[in-house]
Amino acid sequence: MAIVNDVFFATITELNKALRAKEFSATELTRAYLDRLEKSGPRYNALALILREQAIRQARAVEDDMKRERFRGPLQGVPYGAKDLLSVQGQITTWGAKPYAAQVFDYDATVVHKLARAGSILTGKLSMVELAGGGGYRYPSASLFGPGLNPWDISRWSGGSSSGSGSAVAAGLVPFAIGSETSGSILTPAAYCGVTGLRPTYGLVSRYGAMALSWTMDKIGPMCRSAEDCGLVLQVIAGKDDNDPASAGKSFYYAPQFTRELKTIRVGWNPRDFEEFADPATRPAFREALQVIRSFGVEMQEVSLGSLPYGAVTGTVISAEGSAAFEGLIESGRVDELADKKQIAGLRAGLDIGARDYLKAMRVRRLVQQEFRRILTNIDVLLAPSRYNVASRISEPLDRPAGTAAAKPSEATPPPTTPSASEPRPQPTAAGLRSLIPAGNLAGLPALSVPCGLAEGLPVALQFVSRPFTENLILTLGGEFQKRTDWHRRRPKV
Amino acid sequence: MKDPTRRDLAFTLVLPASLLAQETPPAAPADELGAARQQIQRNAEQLRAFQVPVATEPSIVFKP
Repeated sequence: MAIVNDVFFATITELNKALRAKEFSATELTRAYLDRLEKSGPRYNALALILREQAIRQARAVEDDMKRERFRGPLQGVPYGAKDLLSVQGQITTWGAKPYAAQVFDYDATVVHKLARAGSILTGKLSMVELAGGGGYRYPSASLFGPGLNPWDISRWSGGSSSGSGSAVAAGLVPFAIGSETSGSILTPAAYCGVTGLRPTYGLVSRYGAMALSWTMDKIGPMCRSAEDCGLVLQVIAGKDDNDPASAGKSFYYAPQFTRELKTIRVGWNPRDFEEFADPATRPAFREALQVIRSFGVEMQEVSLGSLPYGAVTGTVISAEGSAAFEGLIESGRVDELADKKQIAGLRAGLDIGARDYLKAMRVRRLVQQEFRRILTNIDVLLAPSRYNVASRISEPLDRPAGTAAAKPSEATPPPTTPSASEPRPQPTAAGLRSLIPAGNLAGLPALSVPCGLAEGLPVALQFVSRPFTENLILTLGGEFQKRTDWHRRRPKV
Repeated sequence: MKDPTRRDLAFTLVLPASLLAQETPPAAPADELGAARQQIQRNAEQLRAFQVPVATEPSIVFKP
C-alpha cells in the first residue's frame, strides 16, 4: 500500500496500529522513511549518516516477527533517528566534530540496543553541535554538518545541541529521535522546532555508549510528536545498566492513567516569565496556553527560584568536566580542528579550572538541589516557557547578553547575592523561573517541552519540570495539554 | 592579489550598505582564549564570594 504524506507525521501509536493492521509492512514503512530522510535531511543539515542496509535488515526481521504474531510493544516496526553521539556498532559516530569524523565503535549504546530489542528500526544518525557544545559556542555553524536549519524557516536555527533530532522529527523525517541534554540540548531544539522533548531524571536512562560531555549532567531522552510517544519511548530506554556508573537502577512504566486527578496537582509558575521575560511577539501565544493550563482545574501558585549563582555553577561544572573529558583532544592540539573558535577557546580554558572552584560549584549545586526540594514540597510541577523567544537567525551570534533575542538559557541567571549567616536559605528573586533550564539540569530533574503556539510563524513551547523520577506526572500534564490543543500536530511545509 | 575589475566595483556600489552590514556578523573577541579564561575567572569569583553552610557537601557520591 502507498505511504501517504500524513504517515510521516503520525504518532508512534498510530504507526504501530497501522503496521499491525497491515496497512503497510515494516519494510515498506522503513524504506519510505529512509528515502525521505536521505532526500530531505541534508536540506536542514539534519542527517549525519544514513543507515539504509542495516535498517532494511532490521525491518525484515521485524516484519518476520510480526507475521508470526511475535509482538514486542508499540515501538515495534517504528523507525527512529539517533543523535550522532550514540555509538552504533561498526558505524561512524562523529560527535558532530571534525576530529572524530572517522570514529567507529564496536558496540551499540545501551539505548540503541534496547530500542532494537523493542523492534524499533534505526534509520540514521542525526547531526549535532560539535561535542554537544561543551566548550560554549558562538554560532549555529558549530558543527561538522553545518548549522541545524529549522524546517519552519530555514533561515532560522533548529536549536542545539540535538539540532538534527529536532529538525528531523519536525519535518517528519523520523517518527521520533533520541537526543541528549546537559543543559538545554533537548528542550531548546524541541521548542524551536515545535516537537515534544523529554529530558528524563539524571540516571534514569543509561549513558553507556553516549559521548560524555559532563559526567554529572548528561541525560539521554526522546524527541517525539507527542507526550504519549515520549512516555512510550522512555519506557523502553529507561532502566538499570551496570555499564553506567551513574545509573539510578530504576525502571519507568508509562502509566498516565494512575497519575493523580488534575485538580489535585499544584502548578508553580511566575507571571513575569510570560509577561516580561518572554519576547513580546511570543506573549499572546503563551497567554492562550496558560488559559488552557488553567482549564485543567490545577491549582496555580506563584513561585520564584531562590537567588543562587546558577550560571556560574553550570558554567564551572560543564567546563571542568567537558574539558577533562576531552583532555586528549585539547593536549594533542586537534581541538583546533573544531568549527567554532569560541568552543576551541572554551575547551582549552576549562583545563585551568582547579579543584577548589569545581568543588565549590558542586557544593553550591547541593544548595540548588535543596532549593528545589523546598519549592517542590508544596508544588508538584513547575511551569515556564521552554525558551523566551523564537528560534534565532542562523547568522546571529548565540552569546548575546540575557534579555536579547539570541540569549542561550544558561546565560539567563538572576543577579548573584551572598546569603548572610543568619539567612542560609536563598531568597526568592524577582527573576521568576528564568533559570529553570540550568537549575533543573543541575538538580537532575525531569522536564517535558510541549509546543504551545506560534509566534511570527515559529513554534513556542512550555516546559513542565517535576521531582526526580516523576516523569508520569509531567507526561500526564503534557498529554492533557495535547488533548485540548493541536499545536503538536502542526507541521512545517516540507 | 588581483585588482578588482569594473564588474567587482559595480557590484559593491549596487549593494546597499545596510545589506552589507546585515551580512557581517558582530566581531568576536580578538583574544578568544583570553575571553574564555576571563569568563571562567568571573564564574570562580562569583562562586568564591558565595557563602555555603560549612556542612554542605559537594553534590558527588562515591559508590564503593
